[in-house]
Amino acid sequence: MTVKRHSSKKAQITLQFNWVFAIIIGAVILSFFVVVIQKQRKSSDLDLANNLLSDMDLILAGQTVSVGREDLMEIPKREIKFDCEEYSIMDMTRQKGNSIIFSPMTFESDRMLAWTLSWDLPFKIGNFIYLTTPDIKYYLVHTGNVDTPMSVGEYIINNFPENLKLREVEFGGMSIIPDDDNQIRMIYLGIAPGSVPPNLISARNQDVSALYIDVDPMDLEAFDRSDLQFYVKDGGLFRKQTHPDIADPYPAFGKESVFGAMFVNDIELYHCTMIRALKRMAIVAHVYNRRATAMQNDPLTPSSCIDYYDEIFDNFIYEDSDESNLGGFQGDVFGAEDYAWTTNRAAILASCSTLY
Amino acid sequence: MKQAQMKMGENIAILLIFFIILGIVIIFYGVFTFGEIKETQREQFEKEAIRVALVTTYLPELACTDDNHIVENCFDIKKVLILEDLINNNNEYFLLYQNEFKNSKVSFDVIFPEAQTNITIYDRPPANFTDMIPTFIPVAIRDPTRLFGQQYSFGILTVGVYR
Repeated sequence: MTVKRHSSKKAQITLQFNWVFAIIIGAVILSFFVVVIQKQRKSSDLDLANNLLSDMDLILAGQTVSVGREDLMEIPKREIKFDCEEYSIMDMTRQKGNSIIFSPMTFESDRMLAWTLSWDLPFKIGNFIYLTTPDIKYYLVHTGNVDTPMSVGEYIINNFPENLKLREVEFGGMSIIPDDDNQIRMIYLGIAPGSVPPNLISARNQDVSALYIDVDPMDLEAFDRSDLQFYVKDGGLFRKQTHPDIADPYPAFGKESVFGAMFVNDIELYHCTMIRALKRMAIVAHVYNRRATAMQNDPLTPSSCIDYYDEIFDNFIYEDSDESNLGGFQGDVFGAEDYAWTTNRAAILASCSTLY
Repeated sequence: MKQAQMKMGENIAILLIFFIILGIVIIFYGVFTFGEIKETQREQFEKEAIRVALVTTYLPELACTDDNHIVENCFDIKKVLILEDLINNNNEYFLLYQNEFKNSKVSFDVIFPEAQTNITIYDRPPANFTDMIPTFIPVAIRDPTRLFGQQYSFGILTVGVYR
């Protein structure tokens, strides 16, 4: 009897132990696969980010060499962040290199627009690359007359990327701007921003920003040398962005830089990008200066051409000390631009090799 | 009792076999993934070579320009020599172009009508590199000081990416 009871107890314990053992092992195997799947998912995300960054490198290289090109691309919907020196997706970053890229600080979309303009002053310095997404809504706020030929407004509307649908709004009619979940960029032409459009007051501050282009809207020639001011939404008002080390207002260096300001929603990022552009200008100007000297001293240069080969590019050479007086430097650059253009034309007319 | 022990032993044997098979699968997966990684790395280097070649071809400080129009596949010999001097003798310029060219070598050879020595504009091999992927691009090289009709030579732009 005792033996039977003892055996029965043992069998029960064994059975229970079997079940417990099976459950434990099952749980171990299950958690192993769960961990593997999670790691694989993370690895897949990183792989996607790396591929996207790698493709963007090539896209940017292609954009760097193509002028006036507008490419709308479908991309995986991931947040892309832009910094002074680099851009990043998830935790992976890529250096911008010497590319001059104007973009919002961050955007997340399944479409990206890349646009390129050649920056000439008057010699070609490089291409400005503009990166944005059609999900960001752009509004040109003006005081009228944007249809007038040769006006600044007409120029902006005709030259803005087609895929971005720039909407124009007269200053008094801003109540028509709809509430929107997307980022909004307001471009004020000839009039400073004040109150935020009524329907955008409830929008998140970081989603709404403004740029003020201080220029006579009817003077297209002055557009190159506009003064720029950056604004951020602060409740129901636009507050000007300032920085003790950054010029206020910010002088533009050509139409291309004004377009750049339309896409960059942060003054520090814009300033950093412009400094990179000005340093690039200094390099190219330095090369042209030395080339002019080399041609002047070359015994094969015809004597009738020697006078044209002078170091006329000095005023394009940006130095760190110019950062505190960008307005003055802007004046020097545009003065030198006119002189360089005139001298180059004269060299062409004299059948001499061009300066640039 | 013996039956229970046998059953336990069975369970353990099954689990052992399962984990052995799992281990083999993981090893195969690892080998396959490693092969994929090598392939991806090779592709990245090729993309990098294309990128550097593309950028070099259109640098305004190297390309031939006629009244600000860049002439495609043409390099101004004066600019090439100036940039060679700036990059190789000025650390600031070297660092600036390092952002662009990274671990690569950019050089020109003029081959016709007068063969000239190799002009290396930029060369930055990493400490331990195993290979270099060169890309050869035939280009025109122009000397702006020569008379019209005698300005052009043939050359080869070599862009090599180290790995």
